[in-house]
Amino acid sequence: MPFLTPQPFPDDRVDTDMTAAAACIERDADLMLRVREGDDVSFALLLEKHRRPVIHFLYRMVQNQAVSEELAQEVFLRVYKARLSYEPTAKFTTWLFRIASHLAINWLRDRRNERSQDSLDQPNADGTHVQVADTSLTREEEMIRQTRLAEVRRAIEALPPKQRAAVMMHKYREMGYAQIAKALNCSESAVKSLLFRAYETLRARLAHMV
Amino acid sequence: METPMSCPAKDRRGSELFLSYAAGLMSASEHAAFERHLAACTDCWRIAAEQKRVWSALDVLAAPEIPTNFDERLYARIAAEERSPWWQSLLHHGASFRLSTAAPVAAACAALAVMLIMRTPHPAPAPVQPAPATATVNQKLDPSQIEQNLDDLDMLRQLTAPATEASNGQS
Ligand SMILES: [Zn+2]
Repeated sequence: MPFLTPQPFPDDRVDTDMTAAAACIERDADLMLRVREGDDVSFALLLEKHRRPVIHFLYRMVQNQAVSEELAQEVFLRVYKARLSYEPTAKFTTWLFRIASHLAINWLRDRRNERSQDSLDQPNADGTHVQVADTSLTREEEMIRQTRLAEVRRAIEALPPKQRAAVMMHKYREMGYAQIAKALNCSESAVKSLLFRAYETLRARLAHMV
Repeated sequence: METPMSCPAKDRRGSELFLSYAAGLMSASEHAAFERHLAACTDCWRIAAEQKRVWSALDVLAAPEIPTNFDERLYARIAAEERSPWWQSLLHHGASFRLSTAAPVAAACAALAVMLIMRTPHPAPAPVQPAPATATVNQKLDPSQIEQNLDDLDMLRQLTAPATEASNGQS
């Protein structure tokens, strides 16, 4: 398949500038329509633009590098496979995060069912713990950072999957309530409720951290 | 003289303010009004301080580098899926199909076929028609793939429909 290497997109944040955002929506939908017509270069462009945010979202959701990569592959595979019937009825990124959160939530639920908590914060061979040392820190600072990281991981792990997804989109993707609601297929008030409960849990567990 | 804001800690809708405050999403006037309230309300001051600490604590969770072979692997998967018609993947899985497993399945299929024939009204069932032209597209997808594509497209269509309160409060 003759995929070309596109130019990288500078930023993976959701664009808050309305004009740029509108242009972006049109561009994504336009690219997807071209993918529908068989243009694989457009798919490569979409992949280049959204690969990083999708993998990062999934990584923070499942806290396992290998799993997040697999799920991200599945997300883009599903997008590609759905191309023939694609209609630009909604913002592309919302659809993308809808698929991603659906996959991650299902994975977390399956995993929660199948294991009796072999804790995710323990480093293991399957890529669970990939946080590398920050070489700019002293040994002591690095130890503190690792301790904080472990606490944050445990706190996030304590969140039910849907609350976790809402926080990940709110905190790291800077998505608004309406967009999160669409991605999670619920109402805005449900999203607020998910977020309030999630942050309440996080405050109880992490607020002592300075 | 501006009226003082009602205590956000005592109002469920006020929870939103703590989130916007910690995320730095308030307008200058909202921010000023909120801080005036914080200065006078210990409960809100505590929640706001905690939410700010949580907000910055979460920054520690960095995401990993993207593997360089990500696209390559994806394209390989796409190519493999596009290339293999559904019956081929069935055959592929069938390679590891043991006779002991296959026999009861075959028996069940045969029984089902007999039942179907017996239930079919006369005249006898028409012979299977050659596949229509559209089958060239469908042929590329196995039944589970078709179902999954429909699910993914449903997700897209649902985005345009208003979300219901029915999904409220699930966590
Ligand atoms: Zn107050």
